[in-house]
Amino acid sequence: MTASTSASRVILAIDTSGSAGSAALARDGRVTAARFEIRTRGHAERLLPMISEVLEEAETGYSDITGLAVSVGPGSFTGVRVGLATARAFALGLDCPLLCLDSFSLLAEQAHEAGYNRTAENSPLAVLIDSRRQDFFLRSYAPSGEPLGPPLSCTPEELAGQLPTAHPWLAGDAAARAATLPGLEMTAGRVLESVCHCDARTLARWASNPRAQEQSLPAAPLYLRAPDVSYPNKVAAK
Amino acid sequence: MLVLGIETSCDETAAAVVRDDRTIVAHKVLSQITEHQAFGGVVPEIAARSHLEHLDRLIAATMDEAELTFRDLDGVAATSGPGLIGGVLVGVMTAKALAAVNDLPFLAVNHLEGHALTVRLSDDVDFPYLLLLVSGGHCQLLAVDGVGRYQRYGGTVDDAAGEAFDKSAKLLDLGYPGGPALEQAAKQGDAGRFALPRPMKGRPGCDFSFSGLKTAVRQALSEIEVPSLQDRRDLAASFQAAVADILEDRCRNALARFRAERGQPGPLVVAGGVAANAALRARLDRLAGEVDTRLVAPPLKLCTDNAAMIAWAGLERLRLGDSAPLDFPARPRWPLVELQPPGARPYPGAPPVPERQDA
Repeated sequence: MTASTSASRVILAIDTSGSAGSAALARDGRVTAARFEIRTRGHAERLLPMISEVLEEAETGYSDITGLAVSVGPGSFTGVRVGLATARAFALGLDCPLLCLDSFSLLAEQAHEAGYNRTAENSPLAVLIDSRRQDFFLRSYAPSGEPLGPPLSCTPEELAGQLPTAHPWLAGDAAARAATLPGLEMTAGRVLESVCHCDARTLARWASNPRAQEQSLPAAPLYLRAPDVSYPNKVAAK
Repeated sequence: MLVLGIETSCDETAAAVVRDDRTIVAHKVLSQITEHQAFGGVVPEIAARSHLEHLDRLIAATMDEAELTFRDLDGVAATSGPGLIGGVLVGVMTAKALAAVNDLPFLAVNHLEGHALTVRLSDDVDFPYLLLLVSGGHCQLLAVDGVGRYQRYGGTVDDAAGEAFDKSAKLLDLGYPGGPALEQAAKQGDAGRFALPRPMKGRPGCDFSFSGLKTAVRQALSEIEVPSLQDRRDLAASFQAAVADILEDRCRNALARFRAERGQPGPLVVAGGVAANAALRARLDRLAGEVDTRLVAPPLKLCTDNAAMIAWAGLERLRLGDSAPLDFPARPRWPLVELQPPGARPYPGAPPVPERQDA
């Protein structure tokens, strides 16, 4: 489109799905500017200013963007919607493609970037995300990065039985809490502390890779839990 | 001047484009009624999920209908409160993002100001006017002196009028949404059959109370062994007549105060979902005639929640030089009297902006 960047793939990636908010810009697969803030609240206020800061630092305008990326959860329902509403509106306004990755896969990518599977033992990875309830959101991955089964939500009591092995590596913002549970003491030393929060920098690199086109999910939230509602007595009785 | 408006504060996903010559260029409303029906009321999480699912496509369809591109717009407005916060955030983030990529002002519209200014879009009403704002969540009387200039005369001390309609309709098993269902049933009922109370009627001031009336409906219903359809219709008609009496009485006091303070009898403006009720409109119309003024009520499609009113309120603020920063926080609670005018004097001799009052 624009002559100066005709050959460049410029990806804006955002994540507000969990306990941090981030935005990153990648040009041809290399992150040129990023912001990352630990926060569980205030995503809706900080997201647009954070993106402006990133674009300014990267000396890039909205019209230079050729692709968008967003994480679709699971995580905080509101946070997931803040990110998706923003990304979908960008895609509409800029008329450019939106690539979507679930938060488990994003954290697994981050674990790979951190080199967790270069250790000798080659154990699988369990990604654990805070559900804002007692439950854990869990998805496991083989050392190759292939997912081992679907994403699921499980109670603290069920967790040990759902892990891929007795000694997986743990990532995600609920990993530290999981490692304190009875029966999971042996995982305590295996929490990847640097892979706690989703990070838009990894998301931007992932979206810059051609394989992302095939891996991309629909631009819809992965809630993993139905709304907490009950039917009125009269209806329930029917 | 063209403004895109977005409304997601309750159970309608809506988008509209309005122009400063008061033309509604495009107007779309997607109701979630069927999604909430089984629960007998709006479920906030279901509403928020549904808004996200539909909003961007609804905006695209609205722009198509308007035959406009985003570049043709002068601003993007969204309901930024009060309302169900999960849904409000979907609209706010969408509007902020569209404003940012197109380098347009973002307009953070108070949903109640949208209702309050609708008659300026539909009927070109000048300031000042007396506003009865009646909906499922609100019931208040305000003097409107300009954009962002509201003086509260009174409001409900318990339920909103629309809430009383919805809850009574539920008690009477008339269907969902309750307001329109009760109005339909009342048409075939005898309003004189049940002597229901008129809380606050005859008292000075402009406050309302509806919870006692709702309780009286429950009481009257429980005294009938097996209520027939006609019993329920009669009770609906008696309820509606009581609400009409209360609204008329409170508006009469407010009109007297308005005339004393502003030197003109009205006009009386009614806005919000309950303003769609024809029986209530007729009663207020008669009252306005009695005190030598007129009743102005927007067309039905602009009484219930819609985005044209949000676009219009945004446009009114934009042409007075107002806009909101992109870190604007959405507000679940946001009383009208906390709003500030954008700076321009609304009309010669306008009284000063009242101090913030407790709602």
